[in-house]
Order: sequence, then structure tokens, then C-alpha cells
Amino acid sequence: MVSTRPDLTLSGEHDELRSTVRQFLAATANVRQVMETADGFDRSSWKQMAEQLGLQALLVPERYEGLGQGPVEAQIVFEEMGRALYSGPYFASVALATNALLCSGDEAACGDLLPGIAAGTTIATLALADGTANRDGDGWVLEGSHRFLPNGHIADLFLVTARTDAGLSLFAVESADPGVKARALESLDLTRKLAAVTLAGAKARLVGEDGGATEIVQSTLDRARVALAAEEAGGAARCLEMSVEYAKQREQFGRPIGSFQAIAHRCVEMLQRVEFARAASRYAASCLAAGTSEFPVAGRVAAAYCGSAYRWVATENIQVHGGIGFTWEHDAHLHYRRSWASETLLENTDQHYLAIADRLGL
Amino acid sequence: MSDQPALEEFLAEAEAFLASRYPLRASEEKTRFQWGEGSDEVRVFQEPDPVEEAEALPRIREWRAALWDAGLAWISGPTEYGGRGLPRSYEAAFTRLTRTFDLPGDAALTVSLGMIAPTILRHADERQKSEYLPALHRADLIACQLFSEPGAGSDLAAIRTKAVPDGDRWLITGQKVWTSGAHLADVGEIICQTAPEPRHRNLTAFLVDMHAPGVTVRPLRQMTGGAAFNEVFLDGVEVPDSARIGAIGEGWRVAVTTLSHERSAMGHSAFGGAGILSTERLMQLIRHAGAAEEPVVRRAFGELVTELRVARYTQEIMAEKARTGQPPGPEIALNKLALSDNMAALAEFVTSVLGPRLIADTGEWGTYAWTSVVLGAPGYRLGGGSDEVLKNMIAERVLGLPKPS
Repeated sequence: MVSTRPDLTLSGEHDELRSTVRQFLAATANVRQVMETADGFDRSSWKQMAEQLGLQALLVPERYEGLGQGPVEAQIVFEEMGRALYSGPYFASVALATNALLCSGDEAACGDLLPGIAAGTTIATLALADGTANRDGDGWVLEGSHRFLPNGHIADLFLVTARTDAGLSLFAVESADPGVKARALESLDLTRKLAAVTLAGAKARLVGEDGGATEIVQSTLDRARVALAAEEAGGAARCLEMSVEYAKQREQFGRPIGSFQAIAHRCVEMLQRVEFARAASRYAASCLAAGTSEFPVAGRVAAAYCGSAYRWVATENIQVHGGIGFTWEHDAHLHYRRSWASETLLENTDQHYLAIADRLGL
Repeated sequence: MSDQPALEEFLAEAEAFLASRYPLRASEEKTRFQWGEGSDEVRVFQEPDPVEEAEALPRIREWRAALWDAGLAWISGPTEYGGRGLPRSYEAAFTRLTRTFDLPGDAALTVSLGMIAPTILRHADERQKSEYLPALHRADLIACQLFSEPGAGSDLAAIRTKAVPDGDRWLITGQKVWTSGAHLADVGEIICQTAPEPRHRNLTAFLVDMHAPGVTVRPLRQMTGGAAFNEVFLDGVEVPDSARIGAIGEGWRVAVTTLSHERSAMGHSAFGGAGILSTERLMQLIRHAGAAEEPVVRRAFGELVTELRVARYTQEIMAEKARTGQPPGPEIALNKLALSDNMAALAEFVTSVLGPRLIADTGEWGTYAWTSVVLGAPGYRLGGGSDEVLKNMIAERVLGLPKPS
């Protein structure tokens, strides 16, 4: 049923989900060690997350061995992921790959591929580019190169767009195929590495209709943007906490710097963007869950607001901390890096603004 | 309460009452903004024509009295003071219902009902509550707020208007400023100095009769050219001690209650729905100005819509929290800050779209009228306490930052 108003109520179960995820991420946090590794990924905590909480299965319907939760629950989990700067391929596997498979409506592909993603045994990501696909017997082979894939260097499965005679189509490619070469790129965001992938005669499976990728990609990205916005809202909330805590204890001129209006007002402006960002991502998630006609605009509004809010708050967080905030050892730059990278990941703020004008019919 | 009607039952009763007296509002289709039709006024502050305003008053009073008699004027109010004693959700549902009827506008009662009545309910004694609360909700009395002074703006505790005891009465002398609706008001909530010090403990609140000898109300013309506010001069105005609200020296606490309701009233209008912030209205303006294809304008439009919508989403989540009985967060105060910013952003946006048509009146419909937004926007950063004072308050109370020493 299409409803005209989103349901904005959160239940006790939602609070419980939030605190469970927060506790898990705090207990397994080792962001700084992990970011120094080549893969930027801690496989043991990923496994633990799947076994103890089943978070990788969150959006996967029960018939594909998932938890069958929706966008509202996902918004909560992604907010917590963003707070904790979680470095595993959660966004790639859940927000991008799971959504792409679900949006494809391809029951067979979902049945074959989603249970592995849900169990955390398959790490998947999405690559959008103009490769080409040619028929090869019953299957397809792909040529092309793709850049900026979140966690592409550790993925087992790629969902890739490529052109066929029928138009842009979606394919699934396994990283184990000899035609696939993936490597991590040095990335601004140390907690979410991007990768480049080259496909040279890689065996592929068509997902959805031949020529049907344009719509699949649009709805996948609309969904993924809500997850990204939630991450951004969570990251911004953490930056605010860091700033306020520091402003209370750091003394200069014989008093806490938080008693200076220049600092206090900046913190209030950060609070405003944090609260509004959290509201925007939650509202968009509720619209998506309820299937309201407002979603296409609300999703882009959340993307635009949360992206620029996080970048601004992460930037001001460094300023509030002064010199210590500009050191390698302090975590402020990890959020700063993540915020700049996230704001650009699924189109940037200007592109969201233009999309809002388009979608409102201007 | 055992005799609480079901919500559907209550709404059916309310709808029957409204339908028996007032016409339904024209359908959505007809009330939607149409370029070039009707008035092109886009006021930021209510600046009604004084004659029309005075003529409308009896109709507003009649409507409120009828509403009172039907038990619909104060739905969530306590029954001992004439309220209906129903949950706030009933009141909210009734407010939504009223939007489908063509009713007399009650902007003149915003201060009375939104700010003064809640203050009386919180701080006044039993006799005062019984006397004033029904009268305010029936609009037998209209109230205004006498706080700011020429020397006490952001530093409201520096009030110098004095109330001097004289037997069982007080004599009030001083000057108040920025008083909305003083020219219509029968009664004013006034904060006076009743002792030289200590600061915050030397103030006392009264309800002063606005028709009493010694009260002079003068319109205050603001930079828009209109007069939405007044200056009020008090020269030895007599007030009985029975009109004192709260204890002597407790006026600051009373004022804080009123101010928090004022900010809430302002914060509630922080989003675009109908009216000047409507998306449809902005899009028609852009098309009319021939700017719909310009990427710079489309981008700026997207940005403005983003800010307006996020304020609305925040407000809807806040309303949902209130409905389910969760404690309010800092959103109301933050919404007031957003409103200031959004008004300023709107002024900039229409300026870039209209160009010279904003700076001289060519007589073209829907163009020069936007100057009132440009001229009104700075007032929003000041109203209900300046944004800077509000930020001080949020820093201390919400973030727990130390006070400036």
C-alpha cells in the first residue's frame, strides 16, 4: 500500500537495535590498527558481526535467509556505523550490493547470491561504469575498467553495469574469475578504501532484464544515498560530542574554552546541523519504508543536507580542537577524511540540488 | 478520565459544530497558488491595515465565544478552568480539522493564547486562573506581552520600568517597546523592577489593564515601513496587588515561561508549506522570471528547498515525539535559528531571481512585493530574543557548556 505520510514513530525495539549495534562496534573498535593494514579491513570482526548480530542480513528478505528488516532499521544501523567510522565493507555489501540485487527483481539471482551476502561469507560491491558485455554461449563476458569502488579490493562479488545491444545492463561477476583484476587505490578516506577493477573477458551473469539497468541503478542509488546520509549524520553527531567534550575540559586564558562565545556558538551551530541531519535521514528512511511519493525528493534532500552538514561539522571539529585536532594521532582527521569522501561518493551536493529541482518539476 | 470520548467520536462532534456555522474552505485545487491571481503580498510580519483589523475583531470574538460554548476553545486545558481536559492529540486533530473550514483568522490571538495563557496557567493563583483563562480563550480579553525596553533588549533582566507599592496597589511607570498587538489588547503581562537588586530576583510580573489611565500605546514603525509592533508608555498606572502574577521578586521566572512559548511559536513556523515559503510559489516565480533553465538558479533553488524541507522534517519528528509523549529535545530552539537563516536565504534567492524588478516597482504582479521579505528578514534574527542570545542559552542548557565568566 502506498501511504501519503511516513510513520515517524520509533519503538523500544529500535532503541534496542541502536544500543546493541553501538555496543558491538565499541567492543570491536580498532579503527586505527585496521586503517594501517593493506586491506583496511578486519575480517574477524566482520565474521563476528555476522555470527553474533547478523547485521549483514539486515535488508535481506527472510526467503533469502535474511532478517527482512527495512529502511528505518537500516538508518539506525548506518548511523551507528558512521559514528564508529566502521571500516568494513558494510556499506558496500548492504547499501549497494544488497539493494542492487533487490531492486533488480531477479528472483533467481537473489536466491543464489543474497544468502551468502546475508551470512557475511560473500563480500559484495557495486561498480557503475560503461563497460561492454558480449554473449558467450549461455553466459556473458565483460570488458571494461571501473574506478572508485568502495571496498572493491576485498570484494568476492561485483555487481557491474555494462552495455549490451539492448542498453545498460546489470551483471554479477566473481572476483575469483581470472578475467578480474582488483587493486586498492590510495584513498583520502582511510576508513573506507576505494578500489579499481579491470575486467578482461570476465565471465558474468546477467542480473535482471537485458538492458534494464538504468532503473535498477537509479532506485539502488536512491536507497544507498539514504544509508550514506545516515552514516554522515552519525559521524557528525560523534564530531559534535568530541568538540563539546573538549570545549568543557580544555582551558586557555584561565577558563574552559567552551565559555567563550566564539566556541560556544560554533558548537550550537554544529548541534543544529547534527539534529537536522539526523532528522533528514530518518525522515527519508521513513518515506522509503512507507513508499510515499515524497521519497524521491526527500532522499535527495537528506543526501544533500547530511553530506554538507557532516563535512562542515567535521571541519569545525578540528577548529574547536585547535592544534591537537590537526595531529595524526587525533581522530578528528578520520572524520574529516570520511566526510569529504562521503560527500562525493554517490554524486555531490550540487548534483543533489539539481536533482531536487528536476524531481520537483522545475 | 472515564468520560473521555473516543477520538473519532470527538472529531465527529467537532465537525458537526463547525459545519453548522462555517462554510467549507474551497478545495485544494482552488486555493493553490496561481501566478497573477489575487494579492501578491508576501509579508514576513503581520502588518494588517488598522481599520480592517479593528473591524475583524468582533467576528473573531464571536467565533471564539461560540467555540468556547461548544467546548472546543481549549481542548487540552484543565476542566477546573473551563478546558475540556482531553489529550493534546485531540487538540492537534481538531486543529487539522479546522483547516478544512473557512474560519475567521485568529492571528490577533497568537500572543494571548500561545504565550500569556500558558504563563498564567503555570504561575498565577487560583483566582487569577479562574478569571483570566476562560476570558482569554473566549477572546473576551486579548492580551499582549510588555517585556522589552529601550534599555533592555538582549539583556532583558536590565528592565527599568518600576512598580512602586502604594497600599494594596502598585504604581507602574516606564516604557516598553516591540509590543505586538498592544493596540488591540485589553490586558498586558508586564515585567517590572520592584527592587533595585539583586539581578534576576528584583523583578515582578503583573497583568496590567491596557485601558487604564496612564497607558499610552503608539505604533512603532519598523524598517519595512509597516507597524507590526508598538511602543507602550506607562505613567503612574495603577495595578491592584491582586493582579500580581507570582511572588514579588519572582518575575524573571514568569518571563522565562512566556519567552519559551514565544520561541516555540516562532520555531513552529520554520518550514515552508503554504504561504510565502511554498515550493510551488517559488517555482512559478522562477518560471515567470524566465530563469528556470539557468543551472545557477536551479542549484540555488535545490539548496533553498533542502534547507526548508529539513526544517519541516525536524518539526514533524518533533510533533511525533510530542504525540507519543516523549520529552521534547532541543529542536524548538534550533528551529527558530533555522527560521532566521531560511528567511535570509529566501531573501537572497528571490533577489537573484528577480534582479532589478526587486529594487523598483514596475507594477508587474508578484515581483516588487518580495521586497517585504528582504526588509523583514533581519527582524527574524532578532524576534523572540536575538539569535546570539538563543545560542548562549542552547550552549548552556543543551550542550552543558560553561557560562561566559
